[in-house]
Amino acid sequence: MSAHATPHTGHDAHHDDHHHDPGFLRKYVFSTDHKMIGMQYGITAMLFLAFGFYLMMVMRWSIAYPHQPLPEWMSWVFSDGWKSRWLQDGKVTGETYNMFGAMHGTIMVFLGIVPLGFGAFGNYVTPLQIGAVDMAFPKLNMMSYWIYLAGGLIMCASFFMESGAAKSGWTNYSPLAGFADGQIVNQWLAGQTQWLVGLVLLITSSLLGSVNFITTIINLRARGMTWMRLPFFVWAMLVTGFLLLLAFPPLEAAGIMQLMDRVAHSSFFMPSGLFTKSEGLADLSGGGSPLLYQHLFWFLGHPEVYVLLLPAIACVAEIIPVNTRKPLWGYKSMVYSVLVLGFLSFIVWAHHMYLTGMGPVVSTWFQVTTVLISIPSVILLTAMIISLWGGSIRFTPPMLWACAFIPMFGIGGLTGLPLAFNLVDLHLHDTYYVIGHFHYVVAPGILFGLFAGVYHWYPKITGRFMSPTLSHLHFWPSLVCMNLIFFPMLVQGMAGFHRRWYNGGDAYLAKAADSVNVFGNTVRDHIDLNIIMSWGAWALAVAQIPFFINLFLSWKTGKKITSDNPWNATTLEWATPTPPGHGNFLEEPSVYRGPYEYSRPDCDEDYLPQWVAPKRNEPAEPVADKHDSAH
Amino acid sequence: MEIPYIVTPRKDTGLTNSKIAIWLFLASEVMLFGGFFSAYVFLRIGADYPWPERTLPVLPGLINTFVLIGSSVTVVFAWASLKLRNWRKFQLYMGITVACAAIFMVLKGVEYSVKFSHQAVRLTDYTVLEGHLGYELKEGADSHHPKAEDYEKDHNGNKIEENRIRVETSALTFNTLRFYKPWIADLLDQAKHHGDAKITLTGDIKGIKTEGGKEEVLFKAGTPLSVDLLEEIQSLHLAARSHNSALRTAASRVEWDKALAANPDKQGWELSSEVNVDMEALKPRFLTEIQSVPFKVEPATRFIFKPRDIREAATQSRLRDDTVVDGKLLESPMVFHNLDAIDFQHLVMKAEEKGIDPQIAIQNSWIMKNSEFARKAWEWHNKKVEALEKRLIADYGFEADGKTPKREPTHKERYRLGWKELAKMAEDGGMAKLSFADKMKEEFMGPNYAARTEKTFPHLSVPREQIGFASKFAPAWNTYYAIYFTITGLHGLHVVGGALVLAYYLFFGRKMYDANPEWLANRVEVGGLFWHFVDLVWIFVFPILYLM
Amino acid sequence: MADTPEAIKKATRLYLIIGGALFVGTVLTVLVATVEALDIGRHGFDMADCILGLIIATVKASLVAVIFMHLNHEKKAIYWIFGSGLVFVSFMAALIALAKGDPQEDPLFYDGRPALEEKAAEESAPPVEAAPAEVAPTTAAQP
Repeated sequence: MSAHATPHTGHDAHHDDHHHDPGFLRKYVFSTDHKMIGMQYGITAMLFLAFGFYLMMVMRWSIAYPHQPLPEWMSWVFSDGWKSRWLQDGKVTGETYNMFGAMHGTIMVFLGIVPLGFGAFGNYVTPLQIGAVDMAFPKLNMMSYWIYLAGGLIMCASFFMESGAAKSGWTNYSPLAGFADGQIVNQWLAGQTQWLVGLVLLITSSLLGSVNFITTIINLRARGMTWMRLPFFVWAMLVTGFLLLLAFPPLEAAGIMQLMDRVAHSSFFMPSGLFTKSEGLADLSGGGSPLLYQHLFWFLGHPEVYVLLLPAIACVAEIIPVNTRKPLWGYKSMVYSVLVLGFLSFIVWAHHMYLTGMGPVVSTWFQVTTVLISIPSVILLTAMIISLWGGSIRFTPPMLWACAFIPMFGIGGLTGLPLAFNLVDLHLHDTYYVIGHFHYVVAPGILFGLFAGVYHWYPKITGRFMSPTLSHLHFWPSLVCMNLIFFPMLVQGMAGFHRRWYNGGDAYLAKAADSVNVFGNTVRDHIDLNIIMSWGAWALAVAQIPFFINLFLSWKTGKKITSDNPWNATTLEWATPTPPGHGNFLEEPSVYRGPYEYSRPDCDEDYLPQWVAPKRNEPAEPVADKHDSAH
Repeated sequence: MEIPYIVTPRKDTGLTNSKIAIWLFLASEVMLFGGFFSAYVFLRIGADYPWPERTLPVLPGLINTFVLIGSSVTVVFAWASLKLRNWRKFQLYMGITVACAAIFMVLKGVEYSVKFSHQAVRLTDYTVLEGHLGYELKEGADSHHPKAEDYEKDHNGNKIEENRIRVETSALTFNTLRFYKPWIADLLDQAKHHGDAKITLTGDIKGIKTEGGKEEVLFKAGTPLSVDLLEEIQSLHLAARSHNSALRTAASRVEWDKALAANPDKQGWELSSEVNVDMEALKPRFLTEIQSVPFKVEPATRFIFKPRDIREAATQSRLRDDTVVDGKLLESPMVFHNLDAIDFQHLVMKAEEKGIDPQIAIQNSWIMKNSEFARKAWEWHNKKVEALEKRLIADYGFEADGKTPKREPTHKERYRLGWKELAKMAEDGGMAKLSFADKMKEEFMGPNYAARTEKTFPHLSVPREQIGFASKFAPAWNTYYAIYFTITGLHGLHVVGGALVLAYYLFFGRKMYDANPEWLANRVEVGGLFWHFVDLVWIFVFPILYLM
Repeated sequence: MADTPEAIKKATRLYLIIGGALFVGTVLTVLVATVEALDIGRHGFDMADCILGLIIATVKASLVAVIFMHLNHEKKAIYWIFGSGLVFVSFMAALIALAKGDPQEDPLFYDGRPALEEKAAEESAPPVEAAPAEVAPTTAAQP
């Protein structure tokens, strides 16, 4: 098949099919096709991301302008009844701030980024890139999506309950999380309980999804697609699948136990002698351990952050070679790094727990493994930076985002290094420094990578390019605003700003205005930064509008592609018609070479796709690693 | 378009899709149960109370182990029959497998129900008493041989356990927003039951319903209590609250705008103390918010409440939905119809922590001071412990120092009188022994109170103020039972799930067998792998939870 | 993988034998836990009994896994997959146990156990939520 094939419409793919056209419901709602499911995940995830973003906007008001009533332009979305319950004379109360904070974290992590990265991109692109007709278990795939949607809706429905949604942090530590909303007689109507129910559903969805992904990648690769010919994207998805598969169950165990604590009044995580102001001595057996919850939570919690990261790195690693017309530098190192990263991510978790009173031995273990795990991350980032060197760089919209990912994620990663040492973490734990660190990784890091993916694969999904002008209007303000919001957090954190304060720190001023931290900073020095940061956040919201317009407008009016492979890329997803039909490929593809054959001296074109058969008098590409063909 | 490698394995991996998938799933299940077992170890090591060792009857667990192992064998025979294309044999073996699953769940159900009906209480001095509670009887009924119609029933027609808080209620005040509807219905029913008492509004509820309106009587005194009434009051209150909140918000905005304009160099956070909304000026525009609704009960009636639902005090108690119950707290003992265990282990642990001699602490406990039966039983028990001590020294001797015995009775043997001991004590005192069959039944259903009577397992009334913490043998009782029920419950759910899948192949697999027998064999193999894993988990659950 | 009828018949005999072994193992587990003569270590349940019980359970579980779940002739990929579960669960259990067993006793933060007298003093005045101030006299216990 020539690299410049004329675009095939999806309809042609049907000529081998004897299926009659399924009805609207089967095709667009209860679809078992991985592409449709991918899009369902993508749209749902983006809606949840927008919702989580709005919660943050209200929080930022409370931080920048504590004690001032919420302005009309933010409060109009809430009903009067809701406002009378949750806002005190229009002001954001501590309780409401906590609720928004807990749900912002939960929604962004569990309902937003993971479904977008793994569920949307993973589902759409992975089978295409390995040359498969669909996922190994299409019905299971569909169930994954609907269970995710159910879990997400249950979590968000709790906003409308009398108790409100969960409000004990996205980490939901016991004993607070076992007690909060305890005044509700029927516990099943409490937001904290519904959070746990939603979580169990989300974990089920992830488990089904990861089984599907790993099986597909192992068993449904096309002929000639050996392990070392897989695009890095697929390797990243494979590791992500294993992380989800093995790390989520302990959190499910913890969630079930916390659920039992709430509805069956057990004391898994409730210590003896627990005393609350409203209830006095708790009517519980006691004997439990809050620390147990933390261990089980963070056993998932740490691999979870790599679950967030890997799909984004996967997208960026695909986009860079396409736009530099050079192979990805250090492919093998990147593959081994991502495998080592996956392994190490399971044994670093207690670096989130340095302040729980752990002794020197276990603390040393976790410090060492945490520092070690920075090595594969750095290898990945370095390989991508070196991939730019000497390339013929085309600053297409996806490339802009991918190039921004690198320094932004770099800042995020580097600011994490001090936190690896418990000596430093002692001062920085639970401060804004941590918030700044992980938001740098997730927001200008991971999210930029995923945006890059949207712009990159949009032409394959729709047959049209997204508007470059709108892309720039989306990109540049986003980049500026992200840094405006999160860089000052690093400074504030070092000055001692505590996280989860609803008043931006002004209450601290009343008590300890001149107390200095190790760097000699006071809270007073940096409290005004809150205002710049909040306006940055609200401006960031505005900057997303061009993106949503672009998404929908370009579908109808974007520049049409002239070939099925508009970026002149080498990986298999570009061998399909546009959009790919049922069964994806017109004929079963064969793979003859690695995934990043760009600018080969022996080629007329500056790229040689994986699926193009070698010419008659050329020997077939040697298999990169003899051992791979065995399995 | 067909997904490949569903039936025939892929050449280079040698595996079908479902084989890979089931092993992936089993790996995640290893992590799930591993998480629970880690929790078990953590809770046991960190327990600040005596961990209940060998507290469950072993026989049901043992039989369940045999049943599950047997079903593991038959499921693999079923798969082998399919591979040998013998449909009848497949049906036979798969049928036995599913039947075994059913037996397992039935036994588990029996185990659970026995525990859920068994009561435990930890007194304030840390003595633990166990047994079965009695049920409320009507006046004049024979408490030793009650007939079915002698029992008091609640408004749902259920017997009432003798573990209730009784309040001679004269007034009830409900929280407008938080009242719990089922409890309102229950209170109304109780009032009807007990001499047709009337619950009515204590006084007129006056208020302003519309802005600028006059104060009027919204609800008249004497209106009878009903859920509808409370809901009406609630919606009025919510409307008022919204209205007033909007007014205050608008006023607050105005004040802030003024303050910010007057202080252009200051930031908002510096000004918050200077922004004051003039509430007095706003008050005329407010609607009346009705936070609570007071009712009176005429005549004052004895209401009963579950202990968990109420925080009781001498003259005023509070329900968990914030209802205030005014009235005298009556005697509310917990009455054991059959006390079947006295456990001093926790008391001894607390005494040892304080450096007090355990035997003295035991002598000073409430039950020893108040129960002749307990004193007699403890005396008998101590003789047995002494005899055990002597025998252990005789059988095993001393350590190198010549003073410390090599083996000593455990804490449990010293300080716990279980039901088997009390039964033995009664038999030693002349009580007729039970038949072998009855004894076997006791291994499953717990002590046979009817046959052994209250001579073995006496009545005991425990005053409310002696009670520290009480619960059935349920997850709430202690962390051991919590983890026991959670692990076995989750395991049980896996048994049910696996059995459903296998039963599906048994009853609906014929069509697939005729069309593509190898496909069915593969599916049964995958189902069988899951079944073996369920058995594997139980192989660990049984010794860890039942024997250790 | 047993595929031919003869191989399957042979395997069937093996399954029966292993099934029998599992029954025996179960009886052994109960005996070791209940019969005093088989109580290694000190009287009653202690670490030695725990280890013995777990060893027996592990042997039984291995029989089920290797023979019933035919891990003995499974493909390498399956060993990796299931093995990864076993490896990570071991890490999880071991590290949680290590964290529990290695508490912080830095003198800067922790002065060690308080003296017994101080503890007794603070425990003799508990803020326990006692029920009512005045209550009907307690009923005499049953004889």
